[in-house]
Amino acid sequence: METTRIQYNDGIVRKFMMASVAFGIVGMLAGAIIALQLAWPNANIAPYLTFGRLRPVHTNAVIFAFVGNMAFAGIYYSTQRLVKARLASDLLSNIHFWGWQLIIVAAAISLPLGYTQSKEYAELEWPIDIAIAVIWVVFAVNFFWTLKNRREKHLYVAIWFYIATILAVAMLHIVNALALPVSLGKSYSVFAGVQDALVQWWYGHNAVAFVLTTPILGIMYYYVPKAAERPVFSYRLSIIHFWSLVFIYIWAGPHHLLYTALPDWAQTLGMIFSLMLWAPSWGGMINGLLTLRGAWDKLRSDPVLKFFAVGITFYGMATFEGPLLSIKSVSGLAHYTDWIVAHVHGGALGWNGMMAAGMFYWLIPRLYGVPLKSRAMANFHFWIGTLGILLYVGALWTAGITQGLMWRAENEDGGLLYASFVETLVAILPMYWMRLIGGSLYLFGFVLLAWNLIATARSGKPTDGEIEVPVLPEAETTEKDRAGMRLLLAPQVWTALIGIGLIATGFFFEAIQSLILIIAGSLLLLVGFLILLIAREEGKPTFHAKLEGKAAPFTILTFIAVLIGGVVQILPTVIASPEAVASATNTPYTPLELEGRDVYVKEGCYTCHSQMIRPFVWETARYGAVSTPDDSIFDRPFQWGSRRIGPDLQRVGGRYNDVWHYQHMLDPREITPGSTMPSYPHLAKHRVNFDRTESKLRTMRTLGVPYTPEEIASAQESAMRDAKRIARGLEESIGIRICEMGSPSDDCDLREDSELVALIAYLQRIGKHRSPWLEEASAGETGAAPAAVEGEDAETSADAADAAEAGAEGDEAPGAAEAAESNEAAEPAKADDAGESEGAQEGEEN
Amino acid sequence: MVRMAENFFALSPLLSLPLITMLLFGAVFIAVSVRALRAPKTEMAALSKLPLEEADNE
Ligand code: HEC
Repeated sequence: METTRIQYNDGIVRKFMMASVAFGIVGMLAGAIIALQLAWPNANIAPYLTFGRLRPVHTNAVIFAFVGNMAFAGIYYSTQRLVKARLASDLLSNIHFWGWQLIIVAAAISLPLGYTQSKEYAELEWPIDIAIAVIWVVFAVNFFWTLKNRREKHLYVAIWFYIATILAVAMLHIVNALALPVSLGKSYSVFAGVQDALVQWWYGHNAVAFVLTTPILGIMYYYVPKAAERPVFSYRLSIIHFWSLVFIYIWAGPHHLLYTALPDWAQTLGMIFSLMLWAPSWGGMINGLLTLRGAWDKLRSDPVLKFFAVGITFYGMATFEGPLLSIKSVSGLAHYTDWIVAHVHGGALGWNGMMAAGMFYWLIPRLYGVPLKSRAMANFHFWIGTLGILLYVGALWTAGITQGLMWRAENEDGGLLYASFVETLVAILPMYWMRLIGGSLYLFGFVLLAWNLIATARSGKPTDGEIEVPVLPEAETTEKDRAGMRLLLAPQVWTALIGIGLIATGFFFEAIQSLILIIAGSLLLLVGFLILLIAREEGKPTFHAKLEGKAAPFTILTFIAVLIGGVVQILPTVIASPEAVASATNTPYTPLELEGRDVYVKEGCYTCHSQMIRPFVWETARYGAVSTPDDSIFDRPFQWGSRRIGPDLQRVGGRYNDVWHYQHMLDPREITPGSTMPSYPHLAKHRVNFDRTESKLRTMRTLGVPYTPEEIASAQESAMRDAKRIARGLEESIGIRICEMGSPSDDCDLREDSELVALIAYLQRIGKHRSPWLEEASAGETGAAPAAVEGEDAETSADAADAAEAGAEGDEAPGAAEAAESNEAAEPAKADDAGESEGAQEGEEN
Repeated sequence: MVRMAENFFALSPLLSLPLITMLLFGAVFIAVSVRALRAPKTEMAALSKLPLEEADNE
């Protein structure tokens, strides 16, 4: 047979590897800084370096810059060798590399500046989102083109994991990023409230699945056998591992939303699938560990194998802990606490970081043609890294469980034992310092890795792999393509599609018809699929065996598997949404409240504050009435949050007066000693651009928020009027100096058109279904209590406010627009603000 | 029977989802497992050797 010699494109692997190490260190450094900020709030040194803005820098850097680049390096190196072909296009490879790095740089600049969609791990604004989609397509084209050029018919299991990664990430990213731009740096999510939460956590969870897990599993299936110099323990198990993992993972998202306002069925679904996920995950772990079985003796001396062994073990731990945390009662305790952060870092530092280190130490001699510079240092890195993880995870387990228990602890009368939130925070501060130490040790390990890699690279020279391969005749390739497409029309595929179709149709009918359709579809799938899939004629390869040899149909089938989860889970909620808006008792935010909300999003308040009170006594006692879907129905994006470093804010509206908020935002520690919240003095001077307000409302209306054309037309005027009123109220109460709307001078305590004023308007509105301004106007008429009260009476005042709200609704529910007009006549300051500044100080006790 | 089902799903019509998906998953899982376990040994061995085939260039 005619043969030819090809050279692999290993230059691109070297680039991605070095980028991964560099950004890994940057991302971990950002992690260390935010860890410090939580232990010592003075480390919030500048407006753009506060916790709320840096936390997304950390998560995005670690997920997409560190693990992302590592995965690209690992995928490109192994794929070329597994399919015996050079990467299809050097140009695409380079566009992929430089495009990705540019995106990272854009993220590193735009996030601290406050350009954010506030959806976790999807914070980047829409122009960058589009760039991500484009670069991802470049990657996909390059990858599949390479598969098409392959000289090895069979696709090894690692390749399957890579295919699943490419497809799933594309789908997740595009759906979750759907938003309508207001300007170049601002957009509103097309989803609102519950829907948005569901889509976001479907995405967020699967970012873990398809960015942090499947590519790394593919890498495990290639590099662990290479390093151990023996084949994978069980190829059969790897098949089962792949299909069950891809199929189940996509469903488990709602376990992030247990006990929230998400519909019950979706929560149950998330919980069940999360529990099932345990099986394939451990299948994979066992497969990986047993592959190392024959190489235990080498484990002592070889740092690569050590890193892999510990990495896979942490994969097992994290995937055991995950299903555990998805059990509703466990979630009830752990959610919003540091336990979740511990879980995530078991995965990120233990699984991703250790696998990355192992892979880099294995790759570097092969990419530069010389042995690793210092094996001893790599071993030291291993030990210090492992110690770092243990300290980190241990500290946060303790912190999380301690705080979770304190939040729910009752005193003898059935009240809250630790009524003050800060008390539960101060209790875990020592653990925050320990976490910082653990994380720093781990970071130090990576600095050693960087040194070792660079020193090795310097002592060698770039070396590209080569291989002797047969020349492919042209005809054979096209015949292969045709056979591939025929496979797509196989009865198995049709059975599956019809079955899925029946089930999907079932969702659009009433209970009993839907049940019949769904059962029929499932039976068809169950029986048909089973028979067809295992039926095997003697001497002929099975369906699946054929499939493994065909990239295109395999890809499409994987896509279907991943798609079902998305469609069935998300569709019902999305369809139900317009009706829900029509029947909502909630009313849209006033223009100023909307502006304030955007400040809240921009500052990343959601990184510390949830807006989601779960149906537990200890939560309602501490925070107020349970959250309903109605509460967030106009929230684009939703702000439910995922971690309570500070108290829940769902019912904070009306709990304190404006003066309290003003003083608290300027210096939280003055109001609440021991608080770790950053100070936001700059908000008092930063201006809101009210020229944009109108287009913001218009965008919202396009998305389905029922603003009237008059409200939109008068948006700017209304926002400025309300802002003036709040600022003047503060001036009267505590005698601060005010800069007039639009004044060029900043020589005052508070600008009327400042972000702080807008933020206060929003804070006073959260959890209320009508703007407090409207409420006050009508409360004045009905004689009900004013909304602004001291912190001490939070419970009763919330009730009073509710009563006022109910009364107000009875009186003038239909005339929201008119009520807005009558605002002109309302009192400029909130009731007796003046006498409350000491009263407000007592709010800390709440 | 139908009555019971009706009552049951009236409370939470979408509860059918988790139940059905469980079934669905069960089917796929069993099918894949059976197929994987019945696959000829030689085929599995050949596939699992793929990463080890190419000699490293150093
Ligand atoms: C680093 C975490 C962190 C960030 C970021 C943060 N906070 Fe806080 N926040 C806290 C903590 C801790 C408390 C509890 C102690 C206190 O009252 O200061 C708190 C308390 C509050 C309270 C009082 C709640 C109550 O019921 O007593 C409000 C209101 C508040 N924060 C608003 C905000 C806003 C608005 C932002 C964004 C601009 C923000 N916070 C950002 C940590 C944070």
